[in-house]
Amino acid sequence: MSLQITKAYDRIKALDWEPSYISKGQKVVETTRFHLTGLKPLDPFKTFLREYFTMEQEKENRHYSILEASSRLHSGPRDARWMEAMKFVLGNLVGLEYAAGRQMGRMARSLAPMELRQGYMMQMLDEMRHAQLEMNNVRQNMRSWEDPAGYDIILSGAASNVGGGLFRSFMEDLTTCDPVETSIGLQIFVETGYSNVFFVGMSSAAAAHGDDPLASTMLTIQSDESRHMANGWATLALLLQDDRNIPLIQQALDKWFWRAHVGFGMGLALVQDYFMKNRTESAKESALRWVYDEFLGGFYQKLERYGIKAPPHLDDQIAELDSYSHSAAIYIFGAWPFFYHRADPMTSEDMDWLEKKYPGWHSKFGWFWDAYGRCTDPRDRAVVLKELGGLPSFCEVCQRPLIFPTPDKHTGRSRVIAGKNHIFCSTPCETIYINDPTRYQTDKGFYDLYEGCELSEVAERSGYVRDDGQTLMGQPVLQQEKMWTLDDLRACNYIVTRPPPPPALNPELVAAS
Amino acid sequence: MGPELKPSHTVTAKLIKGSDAAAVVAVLMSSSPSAVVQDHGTYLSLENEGSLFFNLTDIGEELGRPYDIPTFLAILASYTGQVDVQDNAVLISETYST
Repeated sequence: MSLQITKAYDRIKALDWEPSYISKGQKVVETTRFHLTGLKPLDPFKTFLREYFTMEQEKENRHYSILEASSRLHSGPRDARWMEAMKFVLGNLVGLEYAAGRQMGRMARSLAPMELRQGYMMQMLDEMRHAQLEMNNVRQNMRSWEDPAGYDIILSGAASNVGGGLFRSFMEDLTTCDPVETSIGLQIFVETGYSNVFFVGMSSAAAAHGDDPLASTMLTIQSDESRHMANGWATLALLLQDDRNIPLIQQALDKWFWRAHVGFGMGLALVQDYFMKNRTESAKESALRWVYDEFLGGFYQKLERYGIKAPPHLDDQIAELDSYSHSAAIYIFGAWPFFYHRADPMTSEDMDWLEKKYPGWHSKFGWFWDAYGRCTDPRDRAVVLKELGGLPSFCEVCQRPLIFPTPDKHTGRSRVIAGKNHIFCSTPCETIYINDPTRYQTDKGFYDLYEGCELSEVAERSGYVRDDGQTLMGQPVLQQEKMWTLDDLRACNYIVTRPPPPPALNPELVAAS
Repeated sequence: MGPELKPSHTVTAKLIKGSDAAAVVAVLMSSSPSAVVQDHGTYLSLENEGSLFFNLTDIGEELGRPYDIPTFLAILASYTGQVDVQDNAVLISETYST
């Protein structure tokens, strides 16, 4: 008769040991500014390897059965707007999953308590599984979707793409920050706060657009996220036992709630409002329900008894929900030559829905779609990017363009710090920079790479050209008589020009802290 | 004074839809009639004030086969609250303790 879980758990814990062939300092590798010594860890899931592999095998059996069945049975046509948008989404998602796996490796190595190490090691395996599941979706789409161009370069596309810079900067910050802080960014905000909306909410969306394999993929991934959420709480519960950690936790929570809002929440909102035809709720409704009510009320608020304060930019974040998906759409649709999917612009039906869910939408954002509609035929020699005056500056922290909350009333600003001018999209990003300035230095921003280049040169250097060497992967519409080519872009005569920096809102800083 | 957060005492669980989830819901509704279940197409959302308790022995009886923790966790897509895996049960409660 096997031992019960709780008794077996205590027995297994007693088997931990300190290796004799390496010193503690050599084993830990990375230090942390958080105080961990002498604290009592907990592991709510108490998962053993035996149960872990049994559980994962059960999940794989169920998921791959669905993939097998969907290859034989036709539940319905796949929606083109959705399938094209997944070229942008899945490449970036794979990168996020892989980065998360690396983060867990760092945490397992650097954090001492065995209970937490067990959870992190399993999460590392989970994240590698997730990257592989998503890549399997990509492979399936490459083989079966009517227009595979774009799916075939999805990883290099995400690695070099100007829009993908948002996700890259987010995950690179997570992968290189303090190994305990990475838990707060990833496990608390991405996995407890936002992954519900993404993997659970969007599984229904995928199914509604005929993408059953992705629906199953998202649900099976999210079932692993349940344990990751528990890893996050277990890490936080450990830290909260030492009062010296409270201000450090607060600073990390403040930073990562904002970064998750921009680096994950905004991309998700774009998908929900602009990459779907069969919508039920808006991105704003979804975020309010899952993030601002369920996550903040059911989890974050409970930290107040430990001295943790509400997120300082909460009101600004909630206010941005009215506009950030629409401004993000202006960016990704307006800059279509810099992407590798065929866009499906908003129809009058879409616009009616958007007006209903976001009253005033047409007066704030309709102008863009009118201009877009005039610039889709390559024979007109007009690309909407040029008609609207080109791309704006980009934030040096989060990499989003300075068009948020709306292009006409954005909160972007410059600031001279230690003698050099820097550009930020908002007060939170400016604060993040000042708290850790060396982290956000780069000379490989979009304008550093492409200033002075003609538009077709950018598309060609990025690799966003189909096998005929001329036709672009990115297109402003799904179907038309003539697709855009490199020659068509050249005929528009658009040269990438660095815009003047925005005005400074705060005085010069001699040196950042 | 900074922004204020509204406390919530609701705990939730999201289950991947299928025969296992149907059995879980049947057992839950008989033990916690106040729980609310919503069908979202690919998943079921379960909500209750204070706690959700999943007795795996009862679920196994409902299904007509043994039912263990790894099999239950294979369909638990998400939850809100603090989770506690016990010997043959899973509890999700609104109280977070360190």
